[in-house]
Amino acid sequence: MVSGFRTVDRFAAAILGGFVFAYGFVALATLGGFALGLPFFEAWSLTMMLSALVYLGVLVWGFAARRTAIVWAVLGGGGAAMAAAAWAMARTAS
Amino acid sequence: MSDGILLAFAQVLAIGGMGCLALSLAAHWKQVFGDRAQTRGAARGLRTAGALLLAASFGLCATANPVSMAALVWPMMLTLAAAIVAAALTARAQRARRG
Amino acid sequence: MRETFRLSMAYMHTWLGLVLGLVLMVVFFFGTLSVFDREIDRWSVPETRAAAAAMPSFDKIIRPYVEQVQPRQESMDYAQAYEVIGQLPPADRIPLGDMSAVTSHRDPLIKVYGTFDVPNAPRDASVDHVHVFGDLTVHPETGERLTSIEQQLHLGTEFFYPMHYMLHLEWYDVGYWIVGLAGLAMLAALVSGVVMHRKIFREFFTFRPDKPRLRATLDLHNLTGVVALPFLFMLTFTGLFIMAYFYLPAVEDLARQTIDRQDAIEHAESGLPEEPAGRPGGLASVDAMAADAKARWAAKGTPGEIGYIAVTHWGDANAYVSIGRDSVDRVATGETLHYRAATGELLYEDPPAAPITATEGFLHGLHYQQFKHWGLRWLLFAGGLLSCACIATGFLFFVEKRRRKHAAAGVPGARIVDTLAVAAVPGMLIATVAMMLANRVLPADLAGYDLWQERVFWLTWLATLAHGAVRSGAVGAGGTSRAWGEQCWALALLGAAAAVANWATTGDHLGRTIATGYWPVAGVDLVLLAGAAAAAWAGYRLGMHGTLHRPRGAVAPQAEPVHV
Repeated sequence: MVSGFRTVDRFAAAILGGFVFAYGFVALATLGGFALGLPFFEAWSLTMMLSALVYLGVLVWGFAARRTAIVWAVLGGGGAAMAAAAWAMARTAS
Repeated sequence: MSDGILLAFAQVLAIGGMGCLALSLAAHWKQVFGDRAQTRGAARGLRTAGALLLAASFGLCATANPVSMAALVWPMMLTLAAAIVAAALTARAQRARRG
Repeated sequence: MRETFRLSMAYMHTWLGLVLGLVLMVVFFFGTLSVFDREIDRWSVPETRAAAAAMPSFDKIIRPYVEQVQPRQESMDYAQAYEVIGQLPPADRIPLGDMSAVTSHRDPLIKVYGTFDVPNAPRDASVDHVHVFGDLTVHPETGERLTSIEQQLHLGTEFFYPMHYMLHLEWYDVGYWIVGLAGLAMLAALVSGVVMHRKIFREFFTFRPDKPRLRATLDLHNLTGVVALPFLFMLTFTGLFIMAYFYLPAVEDLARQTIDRQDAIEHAESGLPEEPAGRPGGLASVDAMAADAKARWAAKGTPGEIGYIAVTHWGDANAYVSIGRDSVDRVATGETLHYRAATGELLYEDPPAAPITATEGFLHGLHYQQFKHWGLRWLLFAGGLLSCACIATGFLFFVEKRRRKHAAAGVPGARIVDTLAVAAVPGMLIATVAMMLANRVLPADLAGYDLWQERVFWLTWLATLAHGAVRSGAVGAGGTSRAWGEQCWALALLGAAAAVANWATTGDHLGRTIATGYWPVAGVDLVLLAGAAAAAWAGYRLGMHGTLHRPRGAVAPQAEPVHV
């Protein structure tokens, strides 16, 4: 039972946490690239290309990290923070 | 020369190049040449020849097609070439063992 | 630390592979078939067996049909079920927004597509408008609408290809999400596979079928994985990239206003109206615009044919015509000129792509494969087959490793996975070929002819799963399931039968299709027969030895040469 929970926890932390992180990354990197002077749609395209690699990277880390609590915190928290920052950037820019 | 023939040559060169690279590895050298020892020089020579053949193969791809197209054709040719070389080595090893 | 990392990667590889490997098998197999989707269409809808057609006169052949396009029922059903608030108006009351006519060097018929503006409010607040879609098919020379062809299921583009990206699971787009997760799992499996593989260069070409089966299976898994690694990585990566805007709509969700503003700026710069004016407008001769586009391409040193013609804001004063080159000679797609519909003057020419846009175009083109390069097409087909072999042997290795242990412990794990692998490898092939056979032998005027083909596919697949389960007893005892060999024979018979049925129902036997050089149909027949022969060989070997190879458990290691 305990091992079943651990498995589910590990998969969920890496996959769902990774999704939140990738989501936040897409928003922040697009708006960040735009703020740094890239044309908006190019910044967006570049971010989308990188998104699969970023997700892959954090997924691998999510499986390799020793404790899932850290994975949840970094990926979930980091993703949420990036999304919030992007949202704030979009508001202030307009 | 027509593009098709150039590409066919490119595929042949890729197979040759992959074959040389395979023979530069001790295990495959032994599969093919049996107990004849592989010298260091031979291994290095095969590696160089393999690399040159693969480069030549790319050259032909890039002559037959625009470079952006060759960038896709050539890696696929290498994949096929590696699969063919592996199959040939396996077949040879099996034949040798069955005597 | 390094060892722990390797172990965690092995854990990820095993379990992600086990859970999503079946999906990956489906995605890669049907993706491989989709390399030849148009050719399978020709085979499965014999009325369309004709040479590829250049874009005909828009004014004479296509224009009379534009206003006949109506939303397809499936599109209406989907919008009603998932996208809009309230009842949709009847299909013939929904106004046409944009249209396009498409052909390519592989299409004998012209497809005319319509995008219709649904008046209902969207359920998703971040969506501006909901659209429904329809199409019709026109003969490029006679200009006749081919209703009977429109209604037939084109196996390549309408069944195998959607299977590749959404598994025909439309319910809340769940198929897209499963395929996306499987794609991510494939990338993770590639990374972890490389980490786990200790001798990636030393064993680059190594396959030792005479070794015990566990080792031989791993050899084949490693070999196919390593040689197809660039293909596996690039195709999975580009597939995810194409769908990334759907999977990660973060920018749409969080920065809608920025997108709208940038869109407006881009439209203002290009001069292409973003919205309709709401007043009716005329349409000058599109043929003249097409001739102008061709002349401009020729002047740039890249003469070419027209791949598509699109009219945005159909019938409106703001309408414009986009003329796209059929990009037969390059990987990236897209090279388009835009004209004002009312006057035919050139409005805007897509500028030379900036590095990021050019990369994007290359990555898209690499996956969509619209180029005219038959050698490359076959190479990609071969890459797809190698990928399928890699995924399948991954399953077999899982079973092989646990077969005896599970049998001894009385655990059904290996037996269940083996049954699933039977359904995923020979079973899926049998279902596919059975569907092609049904396509040929069922009478085309049968009520529900399309539906029956789909039923044959799903039911046959289910039957192979049941057969796999029933015949897997030997795995429970630590042996090999009988189902593998039996299904190989079934596949061999079905494959040959499908090719013969094509001959019997259309008269297009290989002698004729090869003699006349009609390669779309000859190619499908040849692949069917080659597949049947390979399956028969596998079935024979499995029947003879219970295994594909003859393991020599106790081959004495060859004596090391004595160095003097």
